Amino acid sequence: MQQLIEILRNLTVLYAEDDDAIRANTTKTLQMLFGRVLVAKDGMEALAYYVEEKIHIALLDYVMPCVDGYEVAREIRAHDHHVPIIICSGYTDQEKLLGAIRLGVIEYIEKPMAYEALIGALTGAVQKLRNQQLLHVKFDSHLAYDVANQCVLGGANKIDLTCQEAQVLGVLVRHQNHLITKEQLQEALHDSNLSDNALRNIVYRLRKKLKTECIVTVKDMGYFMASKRERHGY
Amino acid sequence: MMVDTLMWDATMRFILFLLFFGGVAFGTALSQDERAYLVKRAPIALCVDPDWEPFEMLDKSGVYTGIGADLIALVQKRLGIKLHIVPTRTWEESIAFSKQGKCDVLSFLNQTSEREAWLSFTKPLFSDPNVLIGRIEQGYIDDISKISASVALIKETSIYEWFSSSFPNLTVVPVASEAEAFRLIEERKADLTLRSMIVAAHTIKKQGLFNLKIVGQPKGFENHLRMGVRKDEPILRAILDKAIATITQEERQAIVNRHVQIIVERVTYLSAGIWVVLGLLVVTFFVFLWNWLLQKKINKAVAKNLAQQELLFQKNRQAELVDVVANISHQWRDSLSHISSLNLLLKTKLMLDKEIKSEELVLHVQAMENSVDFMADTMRNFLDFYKNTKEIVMFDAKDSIEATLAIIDTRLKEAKAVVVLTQESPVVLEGVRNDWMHVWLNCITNSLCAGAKRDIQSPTLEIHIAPEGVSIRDNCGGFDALVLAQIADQTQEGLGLKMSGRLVEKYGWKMRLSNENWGALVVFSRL
Repeated sequence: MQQLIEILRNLTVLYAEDDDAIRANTTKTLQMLFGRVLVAKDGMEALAYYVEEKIHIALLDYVMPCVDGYEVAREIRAHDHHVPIIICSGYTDQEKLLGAIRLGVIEYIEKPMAYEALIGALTGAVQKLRNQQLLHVKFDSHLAYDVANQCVLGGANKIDLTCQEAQVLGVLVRHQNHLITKEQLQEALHDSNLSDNALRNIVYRLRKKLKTECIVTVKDMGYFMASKRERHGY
Repeated sequence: MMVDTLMWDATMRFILFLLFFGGVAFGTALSQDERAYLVKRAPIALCVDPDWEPFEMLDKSGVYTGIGADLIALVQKRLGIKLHIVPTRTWEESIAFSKQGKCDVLSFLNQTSEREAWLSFTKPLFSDPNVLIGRIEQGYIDDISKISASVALIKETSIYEWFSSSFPNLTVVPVASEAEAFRLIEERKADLTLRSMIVAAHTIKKQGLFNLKIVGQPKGFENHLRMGVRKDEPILRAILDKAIATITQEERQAIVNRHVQIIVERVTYLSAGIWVVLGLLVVTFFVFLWNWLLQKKINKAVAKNLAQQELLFQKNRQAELVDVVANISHQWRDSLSHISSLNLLLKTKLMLDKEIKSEELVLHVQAMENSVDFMADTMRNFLDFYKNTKEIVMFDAKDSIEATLAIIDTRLKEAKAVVVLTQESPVVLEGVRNDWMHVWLNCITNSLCAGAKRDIQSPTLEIHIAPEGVSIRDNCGGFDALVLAQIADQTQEGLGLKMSGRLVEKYGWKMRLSNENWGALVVFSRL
């Protein structure tokens, strides 16, 4: 469980649900589990996010106006055979999805969504990502962050990181090209008293270990991971 | 006496034929070729239905008897030939033998397109009407194509063939025999059967099935019973036709009398004259009885087809109920999903050891309570709607409309419909409350359907309650001109509006439908 949480913390989930109340509550839940939650209120928005962003797991409501969850799943599958897709729907819709479930195109959880069912589906999704080596997030032409093992892979070499280094790199990698403030990093490290110096030190060691120019310092503001946007470049 | 006269008549005719066609050895005018054919072709094999009393049957010793047997005996006599009967155990076997060419002629059957594949048919030996038989509680059936029922019919018969292909609204249950058909109806496993009047009378009487009765006489379902001749022998059919043409109506009547009489009374010591008289009396009695029953039923039907319509309304209600149940389960599922999403949030916090602030908890609990209230409301309104009460009560119009809106809340939301309910002053309605709820539901769903059909982006319903009545306006394009015209002359097919009209009429109100601006306007006012 702890390991699952650690991994999820580094991942981005795309969540689509048309009911306002359910969406609000489930979003809060997902935000506790995932590093980043992209929230769509219908299938169109979900597809827009998919085109714009890198996602690791998709959690889609089946019944949505215009474009339903299954159509979103099909569209995603047309471009990507690996991203785990979880569709939640009422019992009566299960039949319609049986074909897709059996083919492994999607995972299915019954609505109303229970905690165990959600955790179970996420565990399955992470296992699938791990099996397909999809837990590596590329951030430089030759470097990838291994989310499961919290280390960096550079070609055949494995670069080990300390816990703090991994946490900081994780946040930066997750939000590539987004400025990460000192406060955000303190939060990620669960240490609100972390000094500027200590932070600078961690970043310095990271740069040295990884021999990369990717981590950019914005004076007095924070850091960001500068990388070229490649849509499916894990 | 009568029989004697007939015989005399036949003999005279025979002599006349002899005179006219000197050298003709038979009772029927056959050509040289035809006579030669009969001699050469003998014996001609005949298959019959071994179990179709009183039309035809083979008794235990294999003797062919019945109305058909007597008619065919006449044919044989006229032709001066003897047909060779190939015994079979069932009608299906007879059909099979005929197809295989084991018999040249089938005795007594209806002409159908399927059978025309291998048979050619003579002129009718005999005609009688088919009637619908049902249980005593079955209402009179005016139009067999407009009801939904199961019909037990003997397989491989022309009627079976006809019903299966012409009436998709009916479930045809294949049975092996007449007796089985009647038994299924008695046991409520089937609703109806269609049988020849003569056969039905025979079976009902013989087996004492007095809880069955004739419930309709569909037009165009007469039995024209003919002989079926193998297709490659057209000359044989021509010969049989000539003989059949000589059978007179009197002869047919005499034969029927002889057999129907036997059905009714198995008194053997009466003399032939009394047999005939008794037979005629019984037939007349049955005919009158049936006519009387039919007339009674027709009167009933004419009196606005009340019973039948009631049944259809009942069906319509059931269909509506199915819809409403679907709505309810949908509404419940949504509420459950709300509650469970809150639960999921709280449980995840607990599992991750996150702090739950008490203000937050209060909000969640309140939200859960709201969902539970909504579910309880939905259920209560549904039960009101579902209750099969006949209790006439006074109730507030607005209340009943709100209750109706509550059970289709999710559906309204999904259709993005806006309902504006206004009231000048309260209106008290009298009647069965859920009758009125059906009326409201019907109007609202009609609007939603029209909106969906015409792709109206935000259907709006304005329901206004005023002392003079209730009006419902929508922006969904209104009624089709055709529907309005049909409603005006009361020929509309849709049951919903018809039923609503009847219901409100029952309570001293009238429902007026029209089109206005962008949509339909339904006005309910006191008569």
